[in-house]
Amino acid sequence: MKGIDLRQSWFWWLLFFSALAPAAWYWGLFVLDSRALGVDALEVVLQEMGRWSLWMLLVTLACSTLRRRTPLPNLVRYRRMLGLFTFFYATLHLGTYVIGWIELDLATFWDDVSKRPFIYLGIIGWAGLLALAVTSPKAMVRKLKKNWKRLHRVIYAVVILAVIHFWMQSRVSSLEAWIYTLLTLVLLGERVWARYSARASVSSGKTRAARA
Amino acid sequence: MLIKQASDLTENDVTPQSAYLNRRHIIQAAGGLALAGAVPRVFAEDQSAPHWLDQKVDQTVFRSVTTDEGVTDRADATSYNNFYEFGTGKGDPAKYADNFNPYPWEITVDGECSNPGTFDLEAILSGSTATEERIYRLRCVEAWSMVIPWIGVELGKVLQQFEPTSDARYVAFETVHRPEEMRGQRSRFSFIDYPYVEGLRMDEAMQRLAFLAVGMYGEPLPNQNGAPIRLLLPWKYGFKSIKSISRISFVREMPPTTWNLSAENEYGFYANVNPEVDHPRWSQASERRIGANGDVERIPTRMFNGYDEVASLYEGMDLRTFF
Repeated sequence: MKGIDLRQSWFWWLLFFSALAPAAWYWGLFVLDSRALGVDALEVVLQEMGRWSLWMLLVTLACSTLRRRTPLPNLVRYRRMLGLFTFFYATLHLGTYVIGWIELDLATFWDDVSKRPFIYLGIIGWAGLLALAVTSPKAMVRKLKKNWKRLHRVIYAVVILAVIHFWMQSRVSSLEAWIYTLLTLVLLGERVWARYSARASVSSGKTRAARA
Repeated sequence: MLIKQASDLTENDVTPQSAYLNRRHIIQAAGGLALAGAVPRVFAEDQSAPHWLDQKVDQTVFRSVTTDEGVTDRADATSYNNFYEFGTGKGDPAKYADNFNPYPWEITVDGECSNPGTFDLEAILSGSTATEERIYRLRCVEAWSMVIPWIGVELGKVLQQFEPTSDARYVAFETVHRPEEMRGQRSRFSFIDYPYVEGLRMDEAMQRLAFLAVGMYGEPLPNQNGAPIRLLLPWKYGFKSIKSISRISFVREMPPTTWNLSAENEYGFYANVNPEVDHPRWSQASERRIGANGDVERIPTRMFNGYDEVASLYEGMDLRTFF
């Protein structure tokens, strides 16, 4: 199955600017006309950077699922870019919290990090993304060889942390929290299924070969 | 805290009048133009308020309790709040409260009292003294706060009309249950159950700061802020200040409260503002004050939200245990 060709460079640029647009939109409004973002503009920016980081993460994870299940095989070529955008938004999210929300107050930061699970889980998730971002250049892929693949499985832990982080920061359950939970379960479940069926087809191939 | 009596204040002592304009005063100022239709209807929310309530609000004793802090803009206080009956987003109440019809309104009073029954809101208010305006700090458990001028009557004065007996150790409140008008009550994704219920110990209810509001910013309450009548307990987190009250019950035992039922380790019965006792998931040491002119700044949170006079109600109690 060849499918739709996404190798053109215009598509790279389209994806790049689409992924950059939410950051440009929210930060642009925050600087130019923060009232347009609502009563507490900083809260909106803080939440939106986190939300977009989670969306980028889910889209990054969807790349290989789409390759297996749909005629969009080449989206996986842009996985590195999408992964880096995940890190980009997560960094803006963390930065907004540290610089804007708690106003660089180290005592509050330490208090939050040591006592509040949703904050330290969020920071652990960000540290995971940092490790993936640092090892994303092609040279690092070559250097780490087999370990690169092993390291980049951290992404599965990060998405689970991110969804828990989302659940814990909200006061009550919401449709949105359930949507992220469901998407994560589908994306991770599909991988388990793909592995299982690959193994099954290999072993059934073997038995057929043995019979013949 | 600064509590002044009305006599200590001049009209412009605290709040610039421009901070919240009274529609009827604008109409009066417009003089001959005040004929029906000649004045643009700027404030759409209170068109349904009955004449008697308009009058009541107009006769208010202004600023009988106040603070020296900047008053939150009316536009902010009426567009950013929690009222889960209309949705969980803080913009949802303003967006979705239009379908709610608060008038006419009745409150059922039952339990340990000599004068139970179902009363019209007008009858309840006419039994107490004139409405007064109080400017209170409102501290949400989510760590944001506002300063809002409310119009209403002291809770204790209203409760006395129903002649609670000595068996009435607590008073319970209930928000109206109208899923057809309140979309949040129809939601399948809500963790809280409806109707919303709250309660106070009787001596807390009789504290003079406990207030029943029917208006804010010189106007009858907008639907999204709890029309037609809501509680205000400025020394407690905002969720204690139950909105759109339709039932008051005098009871012997501590009544269930909605947020406590939803997560008892996070929300206690007392819910007094306390910078020393953190919410399990976030700090309560400071708050984001949404103040005058839309300015937002982080300020330290004060014990009992700065209303120290309530401290005697909790003498001898461990406020970490009874949070």
